[in-house]
Amino acid sequence: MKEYKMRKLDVYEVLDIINSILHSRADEDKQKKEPITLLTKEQIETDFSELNIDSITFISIVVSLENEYELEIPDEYLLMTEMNSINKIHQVLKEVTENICTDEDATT
Amino acid sequence: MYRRGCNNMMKSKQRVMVISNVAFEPFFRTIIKNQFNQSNVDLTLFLIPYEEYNGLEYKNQFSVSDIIIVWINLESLASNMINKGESIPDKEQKIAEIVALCNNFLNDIVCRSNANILWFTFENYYSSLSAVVGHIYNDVTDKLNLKLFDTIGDRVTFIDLKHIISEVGISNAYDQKNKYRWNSPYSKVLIEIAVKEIHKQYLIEKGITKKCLVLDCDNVLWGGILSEDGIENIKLGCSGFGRPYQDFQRFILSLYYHGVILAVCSKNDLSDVMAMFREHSEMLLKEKHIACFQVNWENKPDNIKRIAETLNIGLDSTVFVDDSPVEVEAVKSILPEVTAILYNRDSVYKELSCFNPKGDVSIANIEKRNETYRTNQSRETLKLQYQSYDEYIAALKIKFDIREALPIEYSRIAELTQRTNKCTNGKRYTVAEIKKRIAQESVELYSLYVSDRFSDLGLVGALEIDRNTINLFVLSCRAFGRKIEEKMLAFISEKYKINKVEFHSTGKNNDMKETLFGDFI
Repeated sequence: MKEYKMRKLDVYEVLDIINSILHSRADEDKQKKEPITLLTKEQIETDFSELNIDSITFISIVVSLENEYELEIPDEYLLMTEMNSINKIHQVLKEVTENICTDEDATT
Repeated sequence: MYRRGCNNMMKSKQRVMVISNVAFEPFFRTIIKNQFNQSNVDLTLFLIPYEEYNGLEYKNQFSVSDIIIVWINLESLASNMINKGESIPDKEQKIAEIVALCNNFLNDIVCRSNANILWFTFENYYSSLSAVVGHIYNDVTDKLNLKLFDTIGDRVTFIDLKHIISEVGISNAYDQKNKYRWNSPYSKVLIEIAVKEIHKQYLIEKGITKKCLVLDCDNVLWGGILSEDGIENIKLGCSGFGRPYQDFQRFILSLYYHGVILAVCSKNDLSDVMAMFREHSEMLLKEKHIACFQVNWENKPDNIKRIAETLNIGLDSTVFVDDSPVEVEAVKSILPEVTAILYNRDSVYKELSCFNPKGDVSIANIEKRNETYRTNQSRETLKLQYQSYDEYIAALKIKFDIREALPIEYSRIAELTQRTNKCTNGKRYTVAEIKKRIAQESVELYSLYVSDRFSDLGLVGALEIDRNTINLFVLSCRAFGRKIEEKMLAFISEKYKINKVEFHSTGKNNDMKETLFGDFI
């Protein structure tokens, strides 16, 4: 059974990863001069459209999460409707992890 | 105008627009910002979907962009372009349609912007058909690119995307996952190389380049040590041990024809080295290609300083290549502004990427300039013969001609403004910027030609006056020491009542500031 030695797959770790992406994007866009609004634990259920997260940021989030947790999210999940809150993203990651483990168990 | 100086603290800004029918997320933005950050440039990036470029919301972006990149993906544009099955006339027609589309697109861009346009060529390497039918030559993309180049090549800089893909390899160039997820078909490594290319073109356009290449001889230009082996035993030729050296000479000769100034700095007897350059049949570099020879037994840092002084070129514009780690280290510590490269048969070529020469330099101008450097030695001898400086100037028999600049001279004038750091008011122009300025009625641009007893120096200075403001005053270092600056100032005073002078510091032109402000303000 594969163990995730990197970050724990809990929803607050996912929140941290997303915040680090928002931070680095804000760094790049210095001319925007807006303060960096990082997300808080209270916003775990909030829809991304209300949090100013556009499709380009969404792409960065997906790619970072895949790298961080060393998994690949199947394309059918990759819609903003399926993954449009931190909690929903966390659910998807859990499902993907469980599917991987089930597959591995089946082959050993 | 953006400030550019020796002061590395100052960051300049560039606005880059990318118009494409595919996406480049998530890598492109970070990679390109980092790349330009390395030259202290703060980059703002706008990605515009090709299908929407006509939209009102993008109109402003066009007018403020400095660089516009067009990267049209052939697969997304015309997915059935490479199918066998379409008859030849259909293909020709399709090619003509696409070229016409691109031409109209370019016309639209040029109406909205004066920016430098980088246009990526079409590529068909994404096709996996070769696994089935083999690597049979398919001429469609090449025909398309050739026709496109004929049609728009004079108005854009064409970037060879196929060449870039070759560099990373086809299997590394694409990202299938990102292609189907968010229409982003190119891999991160490909985007990294493409961004390096964009940056390179930026440096070339701005004239940010080293100017002079100083070369050691033994085991760099030929195999062996001349004073020990003798000229008969030197290894140089198209085969055997001498081949890599001849190949390197061939490469350096190409740099020469791209405007790089060559100098030789070698610990040898001058007569032996001259014998090589003048008589050895396998030498590709000849005496006439070298602007300055410093061949003696003294230390190299002193010799390089002498070369820089003779050629009137800054040490920070000089590159030095030697096969001896001792010599390279000596130059690195004593002359840290010089870029010192250790010769290695395979890696030396990439190290010379610190040169960013423009492709469109005229050979006649290069040869003329080289003649000036070489005949400068004769002028130095003449100088010694005269008691007073004024007598020497008179003996030089300087001819001096100022006239209204012709469009054909804009390229040379732009080059002058970018390369000159000392006798200039600091204004830097690209050809596009000159054209923009000259379009205004009140702006007058002059080119300055100088010749003397020893040679014709060609176009060595330029002036731009707008009513009573001097916007440009530039004189090449080659034309120094002839009191030409005074003639230029006299010309301006006779024709204009100046009360304003535009000035930008290059870090080396303070004297010019005092002269210009003193005379006119």
